[in-house]
Amino acid sequence: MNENNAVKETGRKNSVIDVRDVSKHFGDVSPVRGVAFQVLKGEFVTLLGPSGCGKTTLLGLMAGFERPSDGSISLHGEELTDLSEDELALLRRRMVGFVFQAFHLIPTLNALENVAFPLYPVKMSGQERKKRAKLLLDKMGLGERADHLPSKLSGGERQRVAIARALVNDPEILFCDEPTGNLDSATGKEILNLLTDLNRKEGVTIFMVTHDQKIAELSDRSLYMTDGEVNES
Amino acid sequence: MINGQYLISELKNRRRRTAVNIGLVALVTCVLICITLLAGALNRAFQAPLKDIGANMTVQLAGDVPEQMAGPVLPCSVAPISAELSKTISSLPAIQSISQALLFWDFSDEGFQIVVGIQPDDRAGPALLRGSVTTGRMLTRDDSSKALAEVVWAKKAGLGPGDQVKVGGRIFTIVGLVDTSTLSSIGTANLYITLSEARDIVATAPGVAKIHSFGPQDSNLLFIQADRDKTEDVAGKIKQILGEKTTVSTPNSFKQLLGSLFTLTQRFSGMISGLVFLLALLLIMRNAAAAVRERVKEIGTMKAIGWTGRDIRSQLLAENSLYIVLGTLLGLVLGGLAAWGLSFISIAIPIPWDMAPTPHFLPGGEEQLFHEVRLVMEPGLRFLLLVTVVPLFLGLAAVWSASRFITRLQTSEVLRYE
Repeated sequence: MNENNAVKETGRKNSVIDVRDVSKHFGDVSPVRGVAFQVLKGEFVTLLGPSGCGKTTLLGLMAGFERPSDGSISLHGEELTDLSEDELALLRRRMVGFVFQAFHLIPTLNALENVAFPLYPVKMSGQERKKRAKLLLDKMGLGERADHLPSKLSGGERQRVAIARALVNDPEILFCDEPTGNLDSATGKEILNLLTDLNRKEGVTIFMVTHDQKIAELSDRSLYMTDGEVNES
Repeated sequence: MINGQYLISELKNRRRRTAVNIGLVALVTCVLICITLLAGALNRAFQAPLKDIGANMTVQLAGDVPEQMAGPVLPCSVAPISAELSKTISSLPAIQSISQALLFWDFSDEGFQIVVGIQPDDRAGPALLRGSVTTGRMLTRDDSSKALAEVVWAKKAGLGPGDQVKVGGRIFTIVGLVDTSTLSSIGTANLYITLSEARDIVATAPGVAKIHSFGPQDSNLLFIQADRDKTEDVAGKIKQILGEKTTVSTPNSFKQLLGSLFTLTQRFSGMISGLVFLLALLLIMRNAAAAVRERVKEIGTMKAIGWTGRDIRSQLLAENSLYIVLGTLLGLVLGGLAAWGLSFISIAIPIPWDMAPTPHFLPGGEEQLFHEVRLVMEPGLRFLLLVTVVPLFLGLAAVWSASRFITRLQTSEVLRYE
């Protein structure tokens, strides 16, 4: 094993996300081409790139939302390609939180119930579920809005509910897809402060897709994606 | 694992969908209840004219018209049936019991009367009048020269228990009055005497002897109780035994009497109802599948945050089960109310002229007789299972298949699904 390979192997051992030569093809279109990188535990990594360059597709591959055409991805040493759809869902329940650009809250549930939603299929008392959700909602500054339906919340409040929901299962990795994309700049800044706090104070690994250079400046490391390929800054 | 809180929130906060789903199931259940109960009630109605006399078939044989209306004569619609042939009929398989009677007209200087000879102990036929005796008592087998009089006829003639009447020139004492108004016209008469005495009178009547050969054990009306699903088969065999001039009345023959138009309408309405029912079931299935499809994005979110396919399917099945159960309950209530309303409808079943005892040449004799039957709705256990299980089964099958299709897709495909 040469020195370069040895360094790579050590990095791989400490990584929580390991992406190895991943490609994704949709017919003749290949939004992701031969991508390889690692993310270490507790890192805050941003993936930058213009619209349509394949960022969201890559994020989906990393979260196990879809399968790569070539290559492999592992989260905490678990190979995603080996897992069935249900096993992927269980893995996400165990170690992954996901924040969508469009929030994806359940319209019929109030803020507290939305936060507790990932715990519904988990064997746990209703009280415990409620307690955990309330704690996170308070932390997001939404304790007073717990019984409001998403339609009665502002964009920023909805995104904070979505973040609380992503954290309710104590994930080790938080995937964020343009979390400030649908928010005004002041609210976006608030959300980013929240996420950086989570990373700095609680050690949550964050992998965030964005096209905003300013956000990238807050992260530990940035990756740049163009035409399906990723380069480190 | 099913989450009750989510279930209730969906029901409460998607009011339109909840109302449409529950309403559709209720409508299907209600339609099914009405169709099935109505069909059952109509079929029972056609059995009513015969059921009233404790039988599901009557047999009579057409003969010649009496030469002269004097003394006891047999109407042309009820020629004698020999004891031997009655015995052959009673030995047919599927026949449970057979009761004989003898109907004749009695003309005298004092007037005209319809007389029926009955076996007072019989479990079918006019002997069932024992339940309709209003004054006095019923005839017994050992009675001699005793008669039972029909109450309206007796009142008109100023007769009552203890009074005497002449039948075939013989004196009979009235022992009781009987009300036949609730019965169909089959086998009804002005006077009832024992079958043995009626046979004696008819056997010695010159008006009968001129055109018939009447044996001492013969009769001219048979009331038969046969296996319900074999009545048509038995009717065919009886016609083979007695010949072409036989009239066998069955529930089906009453149905046919209402005319081919009625039969066609009934068939047509059956087809329409069946189509409505099928369409409604398809709507339930389509609606159940649509309820899943309209939540595809939500299902994508569920998968993304760690719900397994099984978790999602269980939740959706529980939700739709609740819609269907609530809809079925509402449908049962609405269907029950509709059936109650329908039970006030009566249908008039025509009684064939040859079964009407009054001669057509007497006042009122040419009028068409009808037997009014009120529709009786009788839901059974099998029926209740049908109306509750069919929509539940089909609705859940649709939800299961739609949710299975969606949960098997990759999460990204579901999130992108339009």
